[in-house]
Amino acid sequence: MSTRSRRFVSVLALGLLVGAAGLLGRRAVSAPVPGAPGEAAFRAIYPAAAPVSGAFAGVDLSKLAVPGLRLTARDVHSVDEGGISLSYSDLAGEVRAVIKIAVARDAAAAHRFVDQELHGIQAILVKAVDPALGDHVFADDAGRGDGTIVGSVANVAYAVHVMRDAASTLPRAAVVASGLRAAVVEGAPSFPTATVALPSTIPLAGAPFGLTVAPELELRLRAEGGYVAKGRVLRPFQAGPVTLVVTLTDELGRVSELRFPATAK
Amino acid sequence: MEVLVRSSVLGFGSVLALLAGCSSNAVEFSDDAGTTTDGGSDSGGGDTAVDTPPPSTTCTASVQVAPAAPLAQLGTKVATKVQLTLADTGGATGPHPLKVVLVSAAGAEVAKLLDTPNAESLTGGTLGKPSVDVVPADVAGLAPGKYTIKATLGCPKVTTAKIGEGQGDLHFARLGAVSIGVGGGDGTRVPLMYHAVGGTQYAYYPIDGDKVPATSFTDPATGEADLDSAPNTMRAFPTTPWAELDTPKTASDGSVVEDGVIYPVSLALGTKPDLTFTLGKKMAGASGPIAAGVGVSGTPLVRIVIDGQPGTDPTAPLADGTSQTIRLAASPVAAVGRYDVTVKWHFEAKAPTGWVTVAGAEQSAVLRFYGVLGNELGTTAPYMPWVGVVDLGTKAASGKTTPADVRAALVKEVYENFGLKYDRKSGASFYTSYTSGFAAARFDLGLFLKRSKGNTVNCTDCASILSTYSNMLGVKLHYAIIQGAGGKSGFSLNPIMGIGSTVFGSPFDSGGMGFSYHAVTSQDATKTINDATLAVDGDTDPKTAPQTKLLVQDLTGTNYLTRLSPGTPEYTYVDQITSVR
Repeated sequence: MSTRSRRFVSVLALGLLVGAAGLLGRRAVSAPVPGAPGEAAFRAIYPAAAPVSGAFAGVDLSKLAVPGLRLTARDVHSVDEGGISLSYSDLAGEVRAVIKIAVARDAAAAHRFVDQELHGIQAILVKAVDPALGDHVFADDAGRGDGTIVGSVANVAYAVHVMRDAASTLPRAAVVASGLRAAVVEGAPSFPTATVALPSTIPLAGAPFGLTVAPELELRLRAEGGYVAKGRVLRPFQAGPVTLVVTLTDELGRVSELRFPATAK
Repeated sequence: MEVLVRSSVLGFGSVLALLAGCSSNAVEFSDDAGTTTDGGSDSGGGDTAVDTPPPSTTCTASVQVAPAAPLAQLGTKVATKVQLTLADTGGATGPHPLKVVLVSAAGAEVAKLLDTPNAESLTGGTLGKPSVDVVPADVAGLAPGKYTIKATLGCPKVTTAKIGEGQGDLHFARLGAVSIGVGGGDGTRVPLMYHAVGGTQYAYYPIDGDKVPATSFTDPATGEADLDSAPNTMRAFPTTPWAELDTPKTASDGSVVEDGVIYPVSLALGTKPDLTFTLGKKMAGASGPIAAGVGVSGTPLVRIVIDGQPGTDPTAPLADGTSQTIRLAASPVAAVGRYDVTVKWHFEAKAPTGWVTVAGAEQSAVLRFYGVLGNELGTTAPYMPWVGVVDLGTKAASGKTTPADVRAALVKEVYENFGLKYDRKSGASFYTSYTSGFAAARFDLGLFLKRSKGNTVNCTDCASILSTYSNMLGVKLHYAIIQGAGGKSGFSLNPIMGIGSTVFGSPFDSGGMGFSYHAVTSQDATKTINDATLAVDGDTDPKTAPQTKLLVQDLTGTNYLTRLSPGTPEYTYVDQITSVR
């Protein structure tokens, strides 16, 4: 093996290693401290529930739809960073529905997502009346879900917001949530991975990096301490740490955010 | 060899041409020289005789050469004046021929600047102080370096003639700044960043003031000069600031373009910034780039002077590629706002008598400044002011100078002009998440700027929007949470006017008159409250109609709670910071 080949392999190995470290060390949303100010009031409204056992593979995103609206924006994060947000707009371009999906590794993580969503809702939701919507689900309109439903089914969490008015022909949030629930796919969740070849030290002018991902995955590249130029070149802002962040999403809404650090010199 | 005559042309008769480079003994005579006038003849009735003194038969000519500046700008069409002082102490009358030439250091004549048989015609009929023009762009083959202007004043046809010769040095160089950096000067340069390089969300680009000029020429292509795009054609600074608010200019490969662009600079109010002018290195020669010639040994010192303010000497002699930093005499940001400022400057060269302006060495550039009160966020992307926020925020608070006025302007702007409406279904947040209980709010600012999730918001969003805009303008606002007292599940409301509404009442379609929680902003841990989510009833009885709309602008924490709720809600989180992404 040539020196050059050995160097590439070592770099590749480093990238793989770092990728694994990024997965293991990803930032988790900190659970609220039970005795923290305000948590008692929150728990008075939304009592904690024991996570259910079992898991799903994910949500078939291609089956999600809001009749009368079209998908106009999609924002993707890992579960801890907010999951997937899908915005649906009417013909005038006004966003009328937003669906959030978080395919977590387990039900506890899904509950944390639900808690996070509920902390951001000023009205008081109640337990959803339709048990088919999930095992930990809250809704407006006395639990019937006219405009808002937040809940989880095992390891899959979601939120549905439909901006209906009195004369609206838009479906109720519960109807959209039913469609989402039907798109949940049986199986165990497995999250997408990538192979990145990035030297541990890169020049200030930037360095190209190698990336191998399955073609069916949706890929988003960004960097911290620098930016990613076309041609898959990592360009640091200055000397020091720079991290390549690879976000992968598959067709079942499973998101991985992999981090590959390097040092710019 | 070109003849460059900018002075008036003589109207006399035949003239013997001066010989180029005439020797000290060469004497020229005019046909008209030495003629006399008989004033007594044909007097038409008068018989008074006038004795005319005999014309002098001696010519002792002299000429002094004094360029207006010791340095001339290569490539310019603007003339450098060369003052000549002509005299004939011998008193010879009649026209004196005059020739002025430009000679290289090697002794070669490169241009004939003036060649006239009658120097008197230049200054009203007698020898005086005419001037000749040196127009560098009109002289082919001029290169940076030292030249000599040689003038020769001949004599009329007289018995004794001594021609006069004089000379003066004139250096040539290509003077021009190719970039301007902006420093904090006597105040503060506030960080700025773009949030979506090339349109990619979460791809941040801080504008590094130490590296990225506020404006600059476009970098030359390989084999081109940085100062000139062609011989005698200086490049120009861009005239229009970069208009995109989310991304810097990017090249086809996605890399950020840092040259040839006017990038904004944010300054704390009252700052007189330091402008660092960096000189170009190369000018376009006839056969390719050549050194611009500034700072070469033996050439006059040069400096940059901003028009309208006193000149200051550079800390070190300027040379090709070096920089001079000058503090603006007045702040371009007296109040909050966006200011596109045209800065004009010129070059001066050091003469024995002091600094003198170099003709044709003027430049100007447009700089974009934001005037803010500071930065209450951070200095590391994305926790630092965003261009997209500062641009809009400074418009909303334009002309303000105090934190209170900025807060009030932003509350009004968010509440009335952002086109936002409250989520009347459930009061849900669309752009903000609390990542730990009600602590650690995380604001999807990039998505909000695009309105990716629409215009529907709740109090959490409004607190994020208001505090983020305010903090990015340097006016501190943190968020606080209001909940039912003693851990109660929610609290009741007085009639309010939610954002996007025009009437007082319930914020919800359901008619519900309670919140599970409410988020507001405060600069002092809830002693003072600002809230862009809703307007309260400002009269003496906020519980019942009629209502008087009152925006929540620096209300005391107690006053606000009284107007918000008939119950006894309390602030449970009082000083929380929102992060952005």
